[in-house]
Amino acid sequence: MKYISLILFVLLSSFIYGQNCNNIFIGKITDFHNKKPLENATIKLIDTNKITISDKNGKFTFIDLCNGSYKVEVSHLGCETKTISLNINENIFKPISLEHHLEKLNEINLSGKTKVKDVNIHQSLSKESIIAYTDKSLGDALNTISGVSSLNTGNTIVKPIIHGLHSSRVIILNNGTRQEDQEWGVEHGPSMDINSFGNIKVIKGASALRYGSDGIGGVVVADFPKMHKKDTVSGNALLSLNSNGKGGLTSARVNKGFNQHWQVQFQGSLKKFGDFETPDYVLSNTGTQTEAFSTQATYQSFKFKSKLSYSYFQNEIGILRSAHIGSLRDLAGAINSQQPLKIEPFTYDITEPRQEITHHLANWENILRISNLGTLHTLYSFQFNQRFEYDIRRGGRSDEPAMNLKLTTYNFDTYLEVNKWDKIHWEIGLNGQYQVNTVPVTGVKRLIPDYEYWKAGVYSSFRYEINEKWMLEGGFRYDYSNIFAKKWYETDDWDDAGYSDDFPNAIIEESRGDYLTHIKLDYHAFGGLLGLKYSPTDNHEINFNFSLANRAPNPSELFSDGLHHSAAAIEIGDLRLDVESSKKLSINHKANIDVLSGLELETTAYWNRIDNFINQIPTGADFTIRGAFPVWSYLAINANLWGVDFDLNQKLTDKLTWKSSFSYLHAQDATNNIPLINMPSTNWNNGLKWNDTTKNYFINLNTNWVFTQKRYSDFNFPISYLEGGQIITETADISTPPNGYLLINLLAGKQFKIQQNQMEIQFGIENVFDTSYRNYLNRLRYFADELGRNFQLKVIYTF
Amino acid sequence: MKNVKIALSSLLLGSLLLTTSCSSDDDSNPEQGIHHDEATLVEITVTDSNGVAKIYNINAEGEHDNKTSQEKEDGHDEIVLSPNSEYSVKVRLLNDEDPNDIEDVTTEVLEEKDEHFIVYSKEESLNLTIDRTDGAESTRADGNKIGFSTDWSTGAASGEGHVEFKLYHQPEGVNSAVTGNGNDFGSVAAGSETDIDIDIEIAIEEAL
Repeated sequence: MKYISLILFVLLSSFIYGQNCNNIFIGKITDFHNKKPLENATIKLIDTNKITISDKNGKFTFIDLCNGSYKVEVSHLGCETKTISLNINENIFKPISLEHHLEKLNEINLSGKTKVKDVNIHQSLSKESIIAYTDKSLGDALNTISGVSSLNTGNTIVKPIIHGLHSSRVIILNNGTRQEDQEWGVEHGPSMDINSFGNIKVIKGASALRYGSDGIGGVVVADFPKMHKKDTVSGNALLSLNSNGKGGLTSARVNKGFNQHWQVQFQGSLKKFGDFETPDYVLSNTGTQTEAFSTQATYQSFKFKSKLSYSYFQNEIGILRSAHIGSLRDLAGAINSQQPLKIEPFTYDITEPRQEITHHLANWENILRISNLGTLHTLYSFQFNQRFEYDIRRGGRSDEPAMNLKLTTYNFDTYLEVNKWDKIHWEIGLNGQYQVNTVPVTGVKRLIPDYEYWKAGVYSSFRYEINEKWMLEGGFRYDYSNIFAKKWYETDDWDDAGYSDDFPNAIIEESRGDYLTHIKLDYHAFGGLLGLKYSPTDNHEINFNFSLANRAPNPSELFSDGLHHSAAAIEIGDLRLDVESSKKLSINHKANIDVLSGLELETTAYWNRIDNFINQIPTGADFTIRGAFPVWSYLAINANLWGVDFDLNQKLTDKLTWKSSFSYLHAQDATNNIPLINMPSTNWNNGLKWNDTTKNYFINLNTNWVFTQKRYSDFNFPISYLEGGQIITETADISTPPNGYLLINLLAGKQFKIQQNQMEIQFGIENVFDTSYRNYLNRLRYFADELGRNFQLKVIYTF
Repeated sequence: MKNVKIALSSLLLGSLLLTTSCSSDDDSNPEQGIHHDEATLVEITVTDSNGVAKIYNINAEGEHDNKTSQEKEDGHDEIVLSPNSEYSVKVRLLNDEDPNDIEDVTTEVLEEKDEHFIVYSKEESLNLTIDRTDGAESTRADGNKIGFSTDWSTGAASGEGHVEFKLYHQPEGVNSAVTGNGNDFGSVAAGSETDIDIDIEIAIEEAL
């Protein structure tokens, strides 16, 4: 009987289905903020095998749907995935809007909306930039964003500066994990390959509590590309060739989706350059070679997602030969010389001084959707960074590293996003980190000692949508960090610094004029955030943001102790430094104005008061057997930084767009009432782009205007020596910034369709007029000019 | 439910990973090491015409809070020379970080003798000439004598003054000719790296 009714039921239901399975569901996906259609959104009917992609107008269609209730999952690159419930009893049209999750109130997002909106959304700016900077570095790509500049050592080591702050004040998230690669060092570039990322964004300021309270400059979030949740193979291959440096890059990515649950991705790139050239001479020993590989595998269902990823980065960088100097007098000689003192013919060989860096990152991310609560995220990661620095040494020791640092870091991060309420979004999370630095003996004094570093943080934040126009956001964070180091100090240095009083039990033993010390330090840091967003109309948005952030001193600021050849500087840390505390107020205004084919404006103004700002400046001279050296010490001062970033995006016609971005920063040491050292000067970038989407080509003209930094302090050193029987005294001018400059770049590209695939060929000229210039924010500016003209050819094949 | 299990077990596994990794041994101390690259001491042996030798050790370490590099550390002895006399002067570079095992850095320099050169400069007031007397072991392939062995001849008594001793690594434009009105004994071009740059205090006066 039971079976009969079952059979009956099955028959009946199939009959019913047969009757009512002709429904058509048409939808249109738009951007929640600007109502523009979103192409290539993935629309999935959950618990069915139906899946489709939206077209150019954001439209999609499902046919042959049976009556019933459906769950529709809509996802799009850069957007929050949305799930809606729908009853289908007839043909139905449903508009769906998606929100960019990049655009949270607490994050003033630079790669953001104004720039993305004018271009086809699936070719977001970040992707274009990644291709444009494919054979340069992450820092170079970020440099194009207003308010972001870079601190360079030569042209291959590039660190991002956000609103004047860099190194350990900028958190870099590599695929979700805090990048730990000795980032405190100004001549340590981020050990990551720009080609492994699909999305890169910058958050100005410490307002993203999830990532830590110490990123008082900001956060760079670089994520691997999203994977397609269907049975497909996609990817790209890229070749870039350059005249300057006679090198380039080749890179490929394959993305394999097995079904909606399982996907894998592989990416690899190989980069090789020889000596770069200025307009007038070869920059000897500036070649570089990078090998990078990354892979990820994902399982995802509606309720659960698990992702394993691994990336490998290996980089060898030659440091300009002329930048290796023996003494302050050599530095003065280099500064007085118009060009580098050692110029050799072009070569691909890299010799000392050079850096060799290997970075491994493995992480495992899990996301669990909990019904009627929210999502739980966990991330474990493991990182190992090996840094070798080779110097020109005597006795055949050039082959042995002068600096050998092995940094191992484990991270555990978890957070719960509660989205069960309509208007309130609440997040609570924990971060844990354990790090070990091991520094084997190299025969050269260790700049950084062996240490163990524990960090733990807890945070909670909320977002409250008061009404259509107002949104409130707030949160707090607490971090505890504990560092335990063992370090050899010269007895004189230890005693002169007066450490015996402050660290009475630190000395373990004394040997040959050195103390072996063990130093335990711990820090408490609080962070807070209050933000208010006001959107009076669809075309206007104002953000007010106040953030409090505290950063514990980094190992370099605490322990540095030694001679840096490239800077001709003795760097001395201070164990007594305390937590650096930033209070930052920023106001951001975005507007869409109906002028010509559309005008977008974005302005950010900020004021940042940093108490206990750890500033590295020359404080005196130290006499060594090599002569005099300036001593650069880390001193805690109070600093005031304020500035304005301005972005404009004017569509002049359908095809022609003018983009402009301007940044100004005023940075003052309030304790001594002098300008802060090494701060970016005013810069103004403009771009004209002719983009013909019907004929599939574009032409881009860019100007990059960097003004002279007029605000600097005099830290010059007098040097004296005997010549011709007389004592000659001159000044080593290490302070005066070089002149400003204007650079012009050209880029043109054309796309071809090859069956379903696309081939794009780009041709570009960088520094069109072969301008000679020097960059204040390049640590090697004393020795050589920046790069001259470069012809570039790129072929990008997308499948 | 299965997913919850997976999530929980991943949590467990992760914390296990974290805890095991943390149990590194705290007791190991970093090795002190020797900084072989640096000469820490310049040893100057001055032998007069009677064969009487006197050794001067110059270490140039010192700190100053102001930036005037003229104020060098005076922590070493003055070399007192008699007027109108001849001296043989030999220089050795030492690393004395480990007093029980003093390294002779000179040996390393001589192994790479083509990459080194010494320049002596004196103050005009000192009546002194310096001649290079290096043997083959400290003569560069280009014929220039490095300057580890020299003969110093004094003129009339001239009171106190300085001689600058500069050892260059990978020097450019090496020339052992005397220039600067007889005050610079040897010269190099810009771009040479300074390995050692010290002041030697000299007095040319009648012995008391």
